Amino acid sequence: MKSVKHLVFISILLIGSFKVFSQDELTLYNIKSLPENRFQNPGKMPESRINISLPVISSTFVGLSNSGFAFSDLVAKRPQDDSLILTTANMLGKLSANNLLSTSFSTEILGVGFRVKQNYYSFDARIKTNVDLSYTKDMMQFLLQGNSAFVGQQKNLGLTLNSTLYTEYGLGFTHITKDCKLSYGGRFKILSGIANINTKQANIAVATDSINYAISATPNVLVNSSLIDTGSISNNAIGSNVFGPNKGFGIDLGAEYKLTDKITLSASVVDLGFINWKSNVNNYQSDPLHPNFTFSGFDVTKFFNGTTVQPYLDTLSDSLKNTFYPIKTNNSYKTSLSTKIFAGATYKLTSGLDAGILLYGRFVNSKFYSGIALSLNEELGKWLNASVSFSRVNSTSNLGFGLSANLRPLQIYVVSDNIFALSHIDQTHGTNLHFGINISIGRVKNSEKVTAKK
Amino acid sequence: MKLKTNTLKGLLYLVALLITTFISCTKDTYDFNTFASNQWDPQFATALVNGSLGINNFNLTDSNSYLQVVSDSVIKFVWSGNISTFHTSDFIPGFSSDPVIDTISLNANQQLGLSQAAIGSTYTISATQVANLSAQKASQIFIDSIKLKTGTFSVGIRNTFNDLANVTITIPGIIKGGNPYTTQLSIKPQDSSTAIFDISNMMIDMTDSGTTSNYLAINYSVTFTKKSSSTAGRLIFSNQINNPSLKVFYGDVRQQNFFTNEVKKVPLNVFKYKEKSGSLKLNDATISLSFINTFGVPLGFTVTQLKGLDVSNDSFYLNVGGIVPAPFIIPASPGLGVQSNSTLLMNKNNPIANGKLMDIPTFFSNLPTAFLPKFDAVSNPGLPSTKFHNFIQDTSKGIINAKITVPLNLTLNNYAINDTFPYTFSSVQNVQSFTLRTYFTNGFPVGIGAKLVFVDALNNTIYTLNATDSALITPATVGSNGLVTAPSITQHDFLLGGTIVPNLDKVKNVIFTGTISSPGNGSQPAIIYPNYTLGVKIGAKATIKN
Repeated sequence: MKSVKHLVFISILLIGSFKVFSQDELTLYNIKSLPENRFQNPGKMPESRINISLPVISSTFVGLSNSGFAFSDLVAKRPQDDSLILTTANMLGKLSANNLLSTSFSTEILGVGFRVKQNYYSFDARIKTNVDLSYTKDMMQFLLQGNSAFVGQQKNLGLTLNSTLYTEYGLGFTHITKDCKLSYGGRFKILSGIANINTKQANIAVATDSINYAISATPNVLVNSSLIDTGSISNNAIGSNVFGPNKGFGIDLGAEYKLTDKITLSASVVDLGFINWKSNVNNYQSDPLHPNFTFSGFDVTKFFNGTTVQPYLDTLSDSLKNTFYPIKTNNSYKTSLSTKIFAGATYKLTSGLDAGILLYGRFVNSKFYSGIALSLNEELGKWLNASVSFSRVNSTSNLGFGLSANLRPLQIYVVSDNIFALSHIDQTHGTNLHFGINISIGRVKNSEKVTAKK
Repeated sequence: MKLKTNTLKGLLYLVALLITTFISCTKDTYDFNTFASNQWDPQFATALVNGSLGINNFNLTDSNSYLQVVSDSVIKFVWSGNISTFHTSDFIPGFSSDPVIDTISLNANQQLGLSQAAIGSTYTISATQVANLSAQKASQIFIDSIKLKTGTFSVGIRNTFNDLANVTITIPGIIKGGNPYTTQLSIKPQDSSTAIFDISNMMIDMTDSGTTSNYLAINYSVTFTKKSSSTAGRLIFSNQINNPSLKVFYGDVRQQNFFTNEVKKVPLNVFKYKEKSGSLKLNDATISLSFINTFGVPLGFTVTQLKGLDVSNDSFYLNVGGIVPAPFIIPASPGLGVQSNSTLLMNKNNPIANGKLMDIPTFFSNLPTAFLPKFDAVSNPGLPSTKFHNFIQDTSKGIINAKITVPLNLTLNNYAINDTFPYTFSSVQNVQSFTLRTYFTNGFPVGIGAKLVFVDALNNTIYTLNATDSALITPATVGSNGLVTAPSITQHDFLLGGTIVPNLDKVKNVIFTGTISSPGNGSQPAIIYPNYTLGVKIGAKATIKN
């Protein structure tokens, strides 16, 4: 029990220092009965000998998060008449210097996995989409308060978007040692990109002079896109997008190790990979020949010499256009997957109850975001598994919940990292929902084998 | 341990229960149709105007005026141009020549001589006559000699005798081929004939043969060839100079007066922004009149009045009443085709008119938007009885050029200038309020207060931006030598609030009123040098309506 206390104490400290993003599943990781957690750690050996995932119904995931602010931070009701008002100052006060708005969706097209002795083989096809929009507080402040807030300063108005829709075909392999102490595995994935918008650079350095508010702007923009050929959709040739020329590869690696009878450690790296975008590619880059735009005001002498200011306006317009009108090219480009790292530990409290801790990290738009969650995972008899997680998201506490009904051979499940968001969506920084119906045949409890061997 | 585990299990179920409870009972709704307005009010700041103004930027000059900029010297406003030119026609508008008719009858001796002459023989008599030519001018002009560009001299003779008359006409005042101009006429009995002399481009001496000025002598020699015994008859001589136009005149044009009216209105753009309040003192100013004279006539020249017009076209004068002790003498041309040059300089020290300084700087301290001088000039100044020897060509001119020089060395105390210019605000409907910022780096040794009145089409005031306390632009620091040692920096923010902005779209004009003071609250002179500049930075923060 002393270990439990230490674990809880350390967890509280860690929770206070991490931000977790709810579109990334934290509760699912430690639900042992669900084979879907293999997508977070392919080193985890599924408890069922055969798992079959059917299109759409077996695994659908929707996640949304905004690290910066919740809806209620921006919109409030005016007490006297319940009219809605924008509370921009309040919202800006909630923002960090760098913020991330993410949405993700994935659904399984088809999945088959089966266990042969100590090995588990799987094939999965999934459609996944991620939209990661990184924005700076300065950017939001500029939009909401104007550049007056930055007088006398230079601010970088950064806005980075990486939005990807792709199909993932994965061949997985997991091996568990005979003593069942160690399991490890990996998944090799062939990726087929469907559409992407990627801002490799999207920064505008804006300075406003403190004296006369002269504005100078230096854009540094490189936006790549590979969009769906709408013509091919209209010709019912969407398959050409699903199996199109935007090829990529990825790999997931993971392992799980039973340190003691009660303590299990695990770690994984998933979505190491890239996609080469070649189809319908457009690159929009700021013109290096016109790197700066400066407006210091109209030349005062023009007001005195009787000449029209129109030529000056034309020059200004040209300068503005040259600086901000991007150069368009059609060069192929490469994007990396948003790599995730998981490191977890569980402590077996009773034969059916585990306490878990999960450290999590994710690379988004060249930045590393990390998080932490605590969970309790309970097997309620043969038929039901339940999990409760506690994570701290953007200085707010989130309560996650997972439920899995094992109605052999069907397995019905629903998992969310922020269950309160379903009723307080306006107050949440993010939530997710993962649900589906699996076909699971032949359940094997790896932990019991270890116990039996002892 | 079992108790602890059960507690945890219980906690798990409790949480599940709580979750279910929260989900089912907590609900908040937003009606997006009830969004209150004016909740998003970003404020954008931008520069409006920027640059540096030197004295040349103030558009104070025109085709006749300029700013004389010499390094390390005070800037001078200079107006330079012609204010009057007089021509030959001003002296001699034209000529008149009255016909002269003389009837000659034979005296007793001539009748006797003619009667004694045999038929077919000849008998000669002589006669004289004068022709006249006078200038069309009130004052008598004495023509001693003249060359005409055009002109003919006609002599008509009628012979009432019964004899043939051969007449030799000689004009001793006109030399042709080295001899007096002569021609002959043969006139039948009871007949008449006319001789035409082309006298263009011939020097006509109107004093020869004893005539005084303006008269030309003509000598006749008449030879009769006897045809009958009768001696009755007369000779009738008539002459006239026709269509004369001047080429060269020699003589005495006497004393004629010129320039009794204002000669020219001279616009002075440098003072166009002036208003009638405050005080201004120019510490120096000069008027230089230069004369070019190709007439062989000296002129006595007097400035009788300097008139200025202020911005309201009201007049003010410097009545000089003549230059004492004597008029300024414009010398005559020393010879044909040669010009005489002379200059009359009027400044704070010279000349003295009516026993006191003309005080040109004080006159220009009224900052006339136009300058109208009035002069008096008399030809051949001196004793009227004197015989003057003048010459005038048809191409002779008298040219008066003026050069007004106003050094920008001035002392101002709340001196007001104003201007009105059309101005409209665009896109103010999207603006909730804005703050105008002015930032001046003033290298001029003058401070400026300003008032901008934004008015509608009926001149109703929409908004007044007031900074008339000379603090809008503070004067630069001036050293003991009068030179600026350090520019001043002045910054102001003017708030145009929400009650004003909605009316700004009615603005049609802006009335600018500026008050200018030199250092020491107008007690010390401000001397403007070429390197002085006014740095102007104007920006605005605008709060945008949502």
